[in-house]
Amino acid sequence: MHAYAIGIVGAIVAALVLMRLAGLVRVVERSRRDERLARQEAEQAQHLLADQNEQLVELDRLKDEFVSSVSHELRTPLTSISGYVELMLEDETHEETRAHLAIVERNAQRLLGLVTDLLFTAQLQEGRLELERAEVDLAQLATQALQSARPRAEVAGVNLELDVSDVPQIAGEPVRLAQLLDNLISNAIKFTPADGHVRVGLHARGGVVCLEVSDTGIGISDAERERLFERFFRSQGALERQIQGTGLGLYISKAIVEAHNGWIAVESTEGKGTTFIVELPVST
Amino acid sequence: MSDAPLVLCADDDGDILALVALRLERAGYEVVTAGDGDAALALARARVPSVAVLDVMMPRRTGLEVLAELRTDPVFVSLKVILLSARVQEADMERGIDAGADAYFPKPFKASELVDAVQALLNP
Repeated sequence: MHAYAIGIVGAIVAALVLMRLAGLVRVVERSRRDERLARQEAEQAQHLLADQNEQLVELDRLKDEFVSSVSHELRTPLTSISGYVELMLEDETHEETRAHLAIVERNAQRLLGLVTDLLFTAQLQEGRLELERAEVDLAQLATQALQSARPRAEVAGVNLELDVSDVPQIAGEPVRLAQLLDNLISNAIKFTPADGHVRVGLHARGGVVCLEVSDTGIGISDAERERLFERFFRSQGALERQIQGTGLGLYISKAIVEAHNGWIAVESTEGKGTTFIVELPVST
Repeated sequence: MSDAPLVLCADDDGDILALVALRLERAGYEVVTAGDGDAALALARARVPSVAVLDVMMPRRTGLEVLAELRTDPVFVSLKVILLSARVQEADMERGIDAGADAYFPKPFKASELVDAVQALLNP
């Protein structure tokens, strides 16, 4: 009888253990299934992400190709506009008409500048800034850049100063460095009210040539200074004062400096002026 | 017939073509014009110009293809070729010079400078 009772209890215990085990197996199976589902979902999500990423890369490429081809297409009509204006200016003697034609020509040049900047930006986006390095005399480039900026400065009533000490030559691309100087000087003139000053300084320090372009212009707020080198960024001051620009000049300048293994920074006090500091290594 | 050197101009943009032709005529050259690459090649073979001013991106045959074709023909051994193009990247210009062009003018160019270049090529 006792043994019989023990047998029954044993059977109940065994049944309970079995039920518990079966429950555990179910739990394990369910969690395995969940895991498998989760893995499948993760894989699907990853595929989706990869697809979307591919589409984005493709879109980005199409956009750059578009900009590049539009830039090319814009040059052709500009050739006719500038070419016929040049022709008319040679034949025209009436002063007022000549003045009007000069305005057309100036704006055609402005449009060309824009197209050139857009094309260059598209190239930068494709990661295609390859430098053709040569020995560059920055002092000479700075003198030339200032010389060509002089007419614009005169119109704006801004004084230009050049402060150059003996600087060693650097290994760089003359065209791009001239573009950098022109961008910084043009900006300084644009943002400086009449009777202000723009100063271009150039000196050597250690293994670097230090270029400083400072102005007594409207300055930039601290918040905006952070975003100054972003593509298409335009400051509030520029927009309010309707100062013309595309927001590409400083973005391009920074890319040129970095392609030369250099460094660019800005210091500014609102209402007082701005200084751009560029350091370019002598040997790169 | 005049003794003026003959210049062949080819561009599919009629306004630019007329501008370049007018400039060169004013400078005293005899000018023939073509609106595409095939016409340019045919005209070059028919008239054997001293200078060819070719736009790069033309229908039917590009300026580069016309140039390559001309460079294989001994008739054109002394022909000077100037390429015009809105493609202004360094690689494009290099391709033009490598293909045997004597000069490469990115658009927009100053027509007066183009005339100077033609003069310089004919009187080195």
